[in-house]
Amino acid sequence: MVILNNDMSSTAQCSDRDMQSRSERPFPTSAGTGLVSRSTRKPFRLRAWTSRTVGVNRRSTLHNDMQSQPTTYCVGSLAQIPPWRPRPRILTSRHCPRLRYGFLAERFRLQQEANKLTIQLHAHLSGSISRQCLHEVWLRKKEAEETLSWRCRLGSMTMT
Amino acid sequence: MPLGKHDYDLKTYVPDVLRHPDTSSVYSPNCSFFPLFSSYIYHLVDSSWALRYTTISVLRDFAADGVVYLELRTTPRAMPKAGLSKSQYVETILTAIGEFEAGDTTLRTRLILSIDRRNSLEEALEVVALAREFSGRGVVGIDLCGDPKKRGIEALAPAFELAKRELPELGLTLHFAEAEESGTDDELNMLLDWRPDRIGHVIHVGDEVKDRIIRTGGLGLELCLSCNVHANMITGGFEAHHFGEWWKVKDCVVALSVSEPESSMQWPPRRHGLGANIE
Repeated sequence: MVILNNDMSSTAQCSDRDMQSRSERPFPTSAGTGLVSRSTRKPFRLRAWTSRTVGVNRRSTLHNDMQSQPTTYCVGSLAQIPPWRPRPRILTSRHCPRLRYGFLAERFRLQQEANKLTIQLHAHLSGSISRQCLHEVWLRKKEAEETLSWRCRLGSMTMT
Repeated sequence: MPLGKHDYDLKTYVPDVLRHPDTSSVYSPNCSFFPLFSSYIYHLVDSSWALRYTTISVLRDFAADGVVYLELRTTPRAMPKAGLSKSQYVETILTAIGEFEAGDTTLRTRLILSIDRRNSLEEALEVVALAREFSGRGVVGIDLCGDPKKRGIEALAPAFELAKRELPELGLTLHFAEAEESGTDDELNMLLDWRPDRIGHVIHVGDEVKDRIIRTGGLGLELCLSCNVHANMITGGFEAHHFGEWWKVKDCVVALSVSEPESSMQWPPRRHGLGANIE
């Protein structure tokens, strides 16, 4: 599952100062929002984010950053994209526990939805009519017959 | 009997379908299962509006069950009271299907025309002609169904051979060994000689015929768990159903079927849960 943040307003807000402040962080490729670019020049640092050596603190920082700065700069004019990040930043569930769990929940929900969808290749029309439906047909026919019967009686009375 | 209950089997039937669903009056004349259709349902559904009404009701039930593709099978029959010919009968059903699909639904339905085991060869050929007429307009196959006690189906062979030879675009599916009476090796070998694309139920099958089914390769098996268990067509309940045996066979394609919608059967989520357990 890949999520592409296409927040246009946040794109417009990206400034050089912001870029600079992000690049000064220890892991610039995933700084700020926790977004990870597939086009990063230092993929080994991505592994550091998800390895056990990072520890809990690093993960919590990631979470805090996600909450405080959920911005990215991927969609809009290409001129606004910094030259060191030529391709849109892509958020993957592989690098973010929160997304990973969200992805699993989404996959579970989709699986549940898929389980409800079935294909039936062996269904008899007459054998599939519910009792309720048959009863409704019977009632309607009975009413029609009674109406017909009363009409006949009335007709015979008029004739006599 | 409450609406959600079902009380039928292959040998006896309590025809509560025509009574009010809320009543629980005792009435059990123990009539046979198959004459139920000709004696009760066919007499009740004997007009164009009733046919359309019941068809749409069935489609609505299947759609409510989450079915997205349905192959509905029916034996074409004339309705003299309503002045409907067999062709008009099929036309009415296809029109009802079209009306339903035009609404807000994801269900797509195709029709299979059945040849009843009681049919004569002329009637069977008439069904093949109807299938040819409505092929491409919603009819996708030909079926053999009906009372398994009825013998002498070898007389119908020319109709199925004709369908297989001249209507390659249509599929051929056969009710296969659904009862002991129709599970003799002679009959089953004859049915396999007709080169069906799918076979249904596949219950009372000997080892020799099993081997032949596997050797055929790619044969579709329509295994009806709920129908087989509730109608007492097998013993031992769901756990003993032969689905557990066939689904492992790689040379066959197994389709888990129920024969009727859950809403009329009232067997809600356990269907999928049980299927998963067996797998």
